[in-house]
Amino acid sequence: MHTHDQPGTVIFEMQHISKIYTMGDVNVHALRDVSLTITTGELLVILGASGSGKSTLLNILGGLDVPTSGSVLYRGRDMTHADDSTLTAFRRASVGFVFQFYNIIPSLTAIENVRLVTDIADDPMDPREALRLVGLEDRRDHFPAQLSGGEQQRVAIARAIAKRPDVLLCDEPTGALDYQTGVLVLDVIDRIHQELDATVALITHNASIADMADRVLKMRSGEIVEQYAPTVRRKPSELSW
Amino acid sequence: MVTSMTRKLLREIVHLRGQLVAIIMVIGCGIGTYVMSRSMHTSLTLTQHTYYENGRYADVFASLQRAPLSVIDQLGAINGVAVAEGRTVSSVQVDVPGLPEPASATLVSVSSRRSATLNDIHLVSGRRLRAGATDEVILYAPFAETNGLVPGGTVAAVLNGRWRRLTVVGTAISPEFVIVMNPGSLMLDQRRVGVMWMAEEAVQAAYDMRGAFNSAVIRLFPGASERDVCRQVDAVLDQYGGWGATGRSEQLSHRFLSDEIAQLEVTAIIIPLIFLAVAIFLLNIALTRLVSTQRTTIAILKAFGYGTVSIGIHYVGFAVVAVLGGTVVGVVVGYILGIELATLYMEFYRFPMLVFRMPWDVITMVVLMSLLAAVAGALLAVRNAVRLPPADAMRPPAPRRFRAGVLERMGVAANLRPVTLMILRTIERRALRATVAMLMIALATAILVLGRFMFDVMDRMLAISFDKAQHEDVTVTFSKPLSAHAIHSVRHMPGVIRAEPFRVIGVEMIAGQHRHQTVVTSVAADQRLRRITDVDGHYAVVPDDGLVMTEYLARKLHCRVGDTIAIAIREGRRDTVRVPIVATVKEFMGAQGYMSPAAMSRLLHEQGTITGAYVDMASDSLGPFLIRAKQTPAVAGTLVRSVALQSFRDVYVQNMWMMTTYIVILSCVIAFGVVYNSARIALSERGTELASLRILGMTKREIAVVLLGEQVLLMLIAIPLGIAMGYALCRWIVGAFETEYLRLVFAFSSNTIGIAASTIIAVMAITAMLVYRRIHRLDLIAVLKSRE
Repeated sequence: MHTHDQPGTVIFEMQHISKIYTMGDVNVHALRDVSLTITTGELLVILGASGSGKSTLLNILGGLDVPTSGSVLYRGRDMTHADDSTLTAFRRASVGFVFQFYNIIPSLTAIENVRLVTDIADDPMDPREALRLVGLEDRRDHFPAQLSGGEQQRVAIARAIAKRPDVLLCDEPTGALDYQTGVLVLDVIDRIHQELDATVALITHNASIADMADRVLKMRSGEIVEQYAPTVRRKPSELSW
Repeated sequence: MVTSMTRKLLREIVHLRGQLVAIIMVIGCGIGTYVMSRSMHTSLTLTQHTYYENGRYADVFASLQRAPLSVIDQLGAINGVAVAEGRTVSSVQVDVPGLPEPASATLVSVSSRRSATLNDIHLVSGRRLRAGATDEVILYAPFAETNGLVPGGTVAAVLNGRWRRLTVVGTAISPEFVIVMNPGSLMLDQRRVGVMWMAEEAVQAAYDMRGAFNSAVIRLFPGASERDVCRQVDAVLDQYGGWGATGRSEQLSHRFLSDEIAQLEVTAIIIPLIFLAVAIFLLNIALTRLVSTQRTTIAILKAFGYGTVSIGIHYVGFAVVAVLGGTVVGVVVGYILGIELATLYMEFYRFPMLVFRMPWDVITMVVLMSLLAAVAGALLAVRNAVRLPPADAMRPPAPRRFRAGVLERMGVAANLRPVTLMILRTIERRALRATVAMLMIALATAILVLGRFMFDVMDRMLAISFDKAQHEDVTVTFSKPLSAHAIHSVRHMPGVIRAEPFRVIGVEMIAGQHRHQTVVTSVAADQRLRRITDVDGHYAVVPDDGLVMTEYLARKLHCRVGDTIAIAIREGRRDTVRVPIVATVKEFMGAQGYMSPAAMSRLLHEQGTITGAYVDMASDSLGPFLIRAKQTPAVAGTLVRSVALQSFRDVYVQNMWMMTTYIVILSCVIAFGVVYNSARIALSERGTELASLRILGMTKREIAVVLLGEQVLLMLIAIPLGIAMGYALCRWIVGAFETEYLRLVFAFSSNTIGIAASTIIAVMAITAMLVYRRIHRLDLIAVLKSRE
């Protein structure tokens, strides 16, 4: 995490982004003329129903995909037409991902899953420290099959933050979890945002989660239809759905 | 109408075409090899039989010194004998225009009563002999062809010590001479060893054999006892210098041919079995994977009311398609190769025709067995999935369970990189599958070792034969025993540096009820040009007294050093004497005896007669020497070491290359099938995991390591194991392969190890490249959306 950045430094700048998928003979407009700026240290929640384009937006931010038109600048660098190896290097150094289905490696223990990332990062934290941050230092030698869903998701978070990424991207991190566990996971994300001053973009279809954000984007049919900052920023434990 | 289920099966087959093609290739190789060897075996056996029948090939053969033709009637009267004929056979030296050294040929008299002739010749070109023609000859076709002799041409030959110019009127082949080679030599030398057929009257006149014969050929009634007939023939011919009657199995040509055909049968069984085992393994893992990706589909089908059996049958369809595909490939390729190879054999053995037949009954049986085995393998894979209740099956499978295992207990896990741990734990978790895959790669390595190892053996045998045992440049054999002074004549021939005499006598060795016809050769203590050498390259010493014999022969006669055996001498006074065995020597060629010249003289009651000489030459004098040898009627033949070595290499090395190419292809198909299928299945099973690693920022190369690391690791274990298996197999083959003419010498070079290992590594590299292309196409985003 680039703690030396001044708060408010622009990390991402997206201009007039469109994304068209060709599915068989049909063109699907996943994003239509979206423009967005993300600055350091903010917790951004992107809200939308399924098919609204929020995941596509996140994928482009995270270097998993490139837009069909428009431009993406990451810290002033043009990523619009980046090739695969540039995107790989970008993901490796700068992005932490958390997914709905955890995507942790079943053959590795919790700490080994974290080491997987710290092994290839430039200035990683100690894997134990990352697990401590998500409250799993006691479970570090457990395999995924021996962990609950919430614990697995926290391992995924630890793995995402251990490399000290520029930005933490969370795609429906509570989508597969029950309420209590979901709150616990959101609490970890919030704490990391607070303690490490991390930039977080979190997408969800759950409107209640929007209340923990610094800024909320609402998406529908591939467009940003509303943008606002919640009047009262709530802790995850105060959220309910 | 195509049902939806069939359509589904067809689409899945298209989807899994890569794996399916690999499996079809493996099955195709197995069935193809089976069809090829089986059809060749059937066809060649049938061709051999037809050829023998058409040519009325004799069942019993007897050589003797001389008997009046009236004795033939006595032989014909023996119970079980259908036809008996007498003829005159002799070895002759032939001067072939354009051939520097003298050639040798077996001269066979041909009766003018054509209808009665056993071992009838089959004319290839020209015409038959005119009855009573004294200067006409029919030549063995391969001999004539390699020497460029055609009807109308002439050759000179020494008949009973006199040079005769003979006109070639035809070329022919005969069931008696499918293979023609010098006894005791390993090579087919069609240029220098041949057969000549001449009219009976002419041969009898030349050899003073009017009204007599020295070779009897006998055809038996079906069901007659060959053994009984031989015994009775011996009783009749004993007073005429009979050598002892033998059946076809003692005939060099028949034996060689039958051994070769019998070998095909071994190939027909072992190799297809290996392939079938590999194919079933591959089918099983491919189907297990297919079924596990289709858990939900299966649940939905069951929810719709499809029964367990019909779903089972649906997946088994995959196995059926693989076996049927493999069968089509195998039968077509096997049929084509079978005809091609049978034709090659036909040409090689000069069969006048080829009776090609596909043994459809056995082939059908093998296909059915393959089908049964494949279906069983498939059912095993499908069984668990179709048993699941629909509701269970619709839920995603629980995360793959990994728990602390061997690595953790050994305490090494903490020191290993996560990527290494992923590889090791995947192997540990699927230990059985990994072990089987590893064993199959080891098997492919072992097969490669086996293919290459024959080169080592041949190299070793050549080294022993030509570097250790035979130091002479030329071996000269005389047409009859000469006095010891003859060696001086040899020494005065052009370019001779050293000449050492030898005496060979034809004998029958008798130990109790065990008998063996062979030769005893003299070996002088100071003999340098030809040494008796064992399989390890050590020289054997022949003591002044007693008999040294090939270890194989001692075993065949059930006797050992210290025993005394009877030797019936088949020439001169035809005594039977008792001789002690003083040593045995583990030779790899032939089954014969050796004695010191002094002991042999005592045996024969002769003063040092000789039948040939080993000659060491000045390097540039071979030409003049051979010209002189050709002009010397007493010389029956010459064997030039360099020529022998070359013709050996020409024939055997070329054959071995064909065999090796075939073996390399087979083992590559196995290795490729196993590695490719394993890697593809690993890719399918771990696609999500690998995509996750890509998202985390790992490069394609890094995740290729995770995916292929398992295969590479298995390969690294499989290669040394396969080499060890191959080594053991080679040892076994060397021990088990034993004929009267040849035993194998064990040899194993680092080259063999290198070639086997590098072939497997190359297959691995190609497979890795194919799989890497798949890694390239991994859809990262799609993976995130799947729950697996």
